[in-house]
Amino acid sequence: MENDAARIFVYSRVAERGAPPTSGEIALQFDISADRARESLATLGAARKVILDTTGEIRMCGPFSASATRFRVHGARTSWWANCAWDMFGIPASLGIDAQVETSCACCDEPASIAVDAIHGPKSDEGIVHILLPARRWYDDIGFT
Amino acid sequence: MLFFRSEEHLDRWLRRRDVQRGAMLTLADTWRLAQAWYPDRRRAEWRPRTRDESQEILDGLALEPGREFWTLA
Repeated sequence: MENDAARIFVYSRVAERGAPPTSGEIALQFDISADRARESLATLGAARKVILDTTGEIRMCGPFSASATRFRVHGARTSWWANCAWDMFGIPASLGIDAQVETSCACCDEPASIAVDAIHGPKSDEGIVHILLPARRWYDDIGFT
Repeated sequence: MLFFRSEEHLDRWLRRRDVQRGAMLTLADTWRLAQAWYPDRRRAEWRPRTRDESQEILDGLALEPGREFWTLA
């Protein structure tokens, strides 16, 4: 299996279904063994095309998160978890879709709902995004960042 | 990278944790950053950017609080 084929499958699957595929689903898709599917994910991880968790499954495939976060993005037919406030716009930006973002204030937990236009971006300017770490430290611990 | 209702709420959160402010972006600037940073990775020709290519994107956006914050390692 070509590495690009695995990467395209991962990102197509998450776009369509809202969650990245497991190694088992990759094995089924390409008719390969589970070990080969895990090797394929490891290759994608080493090439920085996805970020894996400690079990070797996909944890993040930017801007998508494999697990629940405080950033939920709703498209017309699918919903996704975003990794962070940057990525909550990264999903509609990368997919080129209108979306509704549901998040909450990190200070007081008050819910916020932000409509996003595929071309022009957020329809509201209420709220701000804060990036704590300078860029030189982003990859020290990408999960924390 | 978190969302806050307002600058006041951000400052309250920073005081509570005794940490310094990083970069505060409007939603419009966050959108510009997201658009520039995330192409569609389903495309066959997509590949990870080099550090220099990523830096070029950040420099091109000219975001506050200035280049030192946005310089990659």
